Amino acid sequence: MLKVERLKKSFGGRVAVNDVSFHIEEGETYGLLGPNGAGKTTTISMIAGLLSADGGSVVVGGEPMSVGAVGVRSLVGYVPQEIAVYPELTAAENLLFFARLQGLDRKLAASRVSEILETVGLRDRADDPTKTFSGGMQRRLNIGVGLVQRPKLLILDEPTVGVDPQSRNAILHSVEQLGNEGLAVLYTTHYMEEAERLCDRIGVMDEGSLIAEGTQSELVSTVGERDRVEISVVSLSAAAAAALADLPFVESATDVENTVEVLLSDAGTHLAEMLARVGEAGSMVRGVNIHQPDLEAVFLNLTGKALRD
Amino acid sequence: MRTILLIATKDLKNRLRDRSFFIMAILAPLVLAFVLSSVGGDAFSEGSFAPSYVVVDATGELGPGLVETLADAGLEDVSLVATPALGREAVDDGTADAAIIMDKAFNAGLTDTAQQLEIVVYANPDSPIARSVAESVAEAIASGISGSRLSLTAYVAAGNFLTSEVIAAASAATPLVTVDNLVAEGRILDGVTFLSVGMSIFFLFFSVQGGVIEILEERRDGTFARLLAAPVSRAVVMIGKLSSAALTGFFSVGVLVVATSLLLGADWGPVFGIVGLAFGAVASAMGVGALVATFSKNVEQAQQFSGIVGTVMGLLGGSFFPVAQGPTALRVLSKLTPHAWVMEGFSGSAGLGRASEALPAIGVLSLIGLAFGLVAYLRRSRLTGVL
Repeated sequence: MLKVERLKKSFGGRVAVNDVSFHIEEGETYGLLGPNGAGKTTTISMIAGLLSADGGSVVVGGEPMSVGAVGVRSLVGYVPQEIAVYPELTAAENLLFFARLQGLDRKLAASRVSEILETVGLRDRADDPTKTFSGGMQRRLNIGVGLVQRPKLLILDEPTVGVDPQSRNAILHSVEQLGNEGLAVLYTTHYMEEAERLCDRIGVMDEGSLIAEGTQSELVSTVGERDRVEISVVSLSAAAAAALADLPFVESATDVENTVEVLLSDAGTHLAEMLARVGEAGSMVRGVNIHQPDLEAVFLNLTGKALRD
Repeated sequence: MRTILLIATKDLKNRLRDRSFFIMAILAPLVLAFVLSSVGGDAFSEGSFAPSYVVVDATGELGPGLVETLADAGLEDVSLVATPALGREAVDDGTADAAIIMDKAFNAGLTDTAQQLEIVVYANPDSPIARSVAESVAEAIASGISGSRLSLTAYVAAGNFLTSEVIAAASAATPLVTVDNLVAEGRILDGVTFLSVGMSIFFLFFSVQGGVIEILEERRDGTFARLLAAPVSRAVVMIGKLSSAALTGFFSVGVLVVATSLLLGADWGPVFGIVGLAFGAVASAMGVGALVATFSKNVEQAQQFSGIVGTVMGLLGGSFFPVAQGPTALRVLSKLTPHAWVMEGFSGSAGLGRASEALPAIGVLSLIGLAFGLVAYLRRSRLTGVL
């Protein structure tokens, strides 16, 4: 459904997207995972035809996408990071406007509006101005607008930013449903757990480049069978990280804001020794978390920094 | 076309539900026009700023009658002096704004039908309305005298002698000056109409500019990206957005024309004049608004810039007081603002009751809109963003 090949974009001298390639099949949910500023939004802006690429190509449903292309856009449902609805209009009016903008005739548009209101759980608030909605309801409507023309590809740009846990769960559930219904979904996030829950395949982006791609298990296997241990310290985290890095069983130890993140095999066996070494480095331990291998560990392993940086 | 209308009507609906639009576009100009006209509407009449005239009549035969006629025509401050020197002195020292001089030679010529008559208008260059009125008075006198002299020539040709009674009778037969002439040539708006037009154009600028700035707001809120992601061309999206700004301007003017006419008794003049000037005002406001927006980094800055530009142009352009009676520098500067041309257009259209009088102003306003709009178009990426 979507084929992205060697996509490039620079702003001035700064490279925002560098040689990015991936594809998404029908019914597949693909996650673009990366920290803020990794180039995710720039990439999807080019895929949605909002931004011209300096190089490479985007093909949606067999048709090339560009800033000047018009027809192919009806295949793409675009849900921006912002809550992009009109606050003075009701939920139904917003949906109807965007449905008509997509070229649907009045009757079909009205029918789609009704369906979408049901899908996003806003039927009982259909005639209320969206400015009276909670953040979560607005987010759901925001996604609904992206679905109004029955797109083949749905692009969701960090749709859960600033959403309460309950609404977030509802949004994630909706996205899961869409994938099951055969829609190709491109989902960008910097929340590892969202990517793990929703995505069939994941592309990891950092500093404009796609540094790894695969299913979650494929990506996790790249870091081996290693555990990730987070040791929170009161102070001297850099010294603690350096001391831990000297241990023979430690693969890497990184200092991230008073937390030392350690990659190693069989963390449980070596935990006592590591805590002792932190104490010897003059630091005081505040807490310890042990994680089995996950995407956070993958990112840390690939980039040497945490996903939330 | 369908998509343009779709975007424009959506924007209009969105704006009409926004209370701040009603306050800015309808309520504020209406209330201000009402309040200012209530506390002293006559003070804002352009007529009240066309102050003093002096009639110089060296012999006293025509002068008293002319002063009376001018007073009847609505010119309140008209005095009579005996010599041209006194008339010029009155203008030079600011006592009068214009002098209509009929010297001894002129009076002698009244009885000598072969002699060329000359009426001199001596006016303060900073009082164009006073000069215009004085010139029209002089022309009216000349026209009246021409008619009288034809009668007198026929009278003399028949072998009769001219006496002062005969001359007076001939002059009375053809009125020298009519009320209509004076008011029309002065292109004067009454206080209520002046304030209604002034407040309307002043706030129209803000409401139309607000419509253009809405593009920046939509960029910030993400809806503009959503519009651009739809299967329509970018040009259609932009035309739709700008059309909505224009529609809000026309809506605002329409409501204000009806409201001030019904509630305050304002006389906006012929419909075609109103429509043409509303078109020109909206076009110029859109051009200026678009250019201002392209120089702004964000919505807040655009709102600040447009507030400053709108206020300065409104003050300079005579939305609050008739700049025509101000100093030369102010009058020249005011011509750089659309507001001044709207006021001038309505002075001609409503003042004279002829829509065609507004054509020059409509032309200039359209050109202002075109020129500013063209520069804004060249800088359009600053408005629509990199998306």
